[in-house]
Amino acid sequence: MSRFKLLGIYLTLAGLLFFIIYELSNILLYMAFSISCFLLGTTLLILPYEEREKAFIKGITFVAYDFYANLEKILKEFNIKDKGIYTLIRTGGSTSIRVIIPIAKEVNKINMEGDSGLLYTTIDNIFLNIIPPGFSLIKILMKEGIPLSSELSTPNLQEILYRCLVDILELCKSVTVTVLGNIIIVRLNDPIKEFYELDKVYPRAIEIIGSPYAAFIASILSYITRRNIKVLNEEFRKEMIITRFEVL
Amino acid sequence: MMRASIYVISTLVLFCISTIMLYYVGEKRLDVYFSIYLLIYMITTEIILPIKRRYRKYVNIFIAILFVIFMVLITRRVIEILGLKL
Repeated sequence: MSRFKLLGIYLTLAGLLFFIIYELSNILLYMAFSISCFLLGTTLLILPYEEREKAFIKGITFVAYDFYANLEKILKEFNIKDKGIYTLIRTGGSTSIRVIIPIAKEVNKINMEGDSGLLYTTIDNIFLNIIPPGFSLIKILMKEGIPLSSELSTPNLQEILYRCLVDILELCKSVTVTVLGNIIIVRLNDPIKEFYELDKVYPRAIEIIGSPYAAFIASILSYITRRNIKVLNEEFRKEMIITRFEVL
Repeated sequence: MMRASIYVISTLVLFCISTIMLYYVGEKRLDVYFSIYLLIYMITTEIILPIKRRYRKYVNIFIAILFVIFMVLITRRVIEILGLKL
């Protein structure tokens, strides 16, 4: 319940209390307070007030849905079924993130030096070169000077992911990271539920690059570890999302 | 500060000021208090309350009810001044 609804309940109850006191004491001032509290309290209660931030999130969710709709269309056009790989590339003097999706045959390693167009070709394969949803977030990380590290340690990854997903994006309430060899398991506790239904609408896009939650995490992981990252799977539960990534 | 917060705070402050002032001058008629509150409420709601067009009707209905009460109070006062008996 929004804080304005709670305030509305509080004022209405205060109005009722003032009215009872007026009935008992017959002091006019209490009746005056009762009227004023009822007026404002009832307004706050009846008004379906929508906070601006929530309305904005709704708009942003639609934009994300459109991004996945476009991607689904492209993937179907090229008949792509293999998973994409998040990789760090050099663009000019800085670094950036791309998802490289194999078209011809599945690969487990990719080494793309610079950026290319939509299609990236090697001797024996063709790849789709896509900018992932976590792309702009990487720019913030670069500005904040988050250090690059190839070390896969749980505290290091957990601290950086907490900073990005909780402090900056407010995507969830907390993050738990477990590293098992080359597998990284990230648990998002109490996440926003806006993207829960995406896999039903755009299954191929979600299977290949992951949901926006996984895309953000994979981009961050790829950036900080300077390694190729693949989204293995995602589990959407009521109060948490469990995502598994493979470091290639 | 959000406009909704400004609306709540300013309306409450104006209600308090008007109550204190009316009580200070020894006003004993409840309809005077109600009229002043209604005036403040309508002004702040029209000027400050950030409301979407699709929710406008809720406020309009509420204001209409308050206005009916106000008209009843006025009619009673007019009848009282004219010395008519219902």
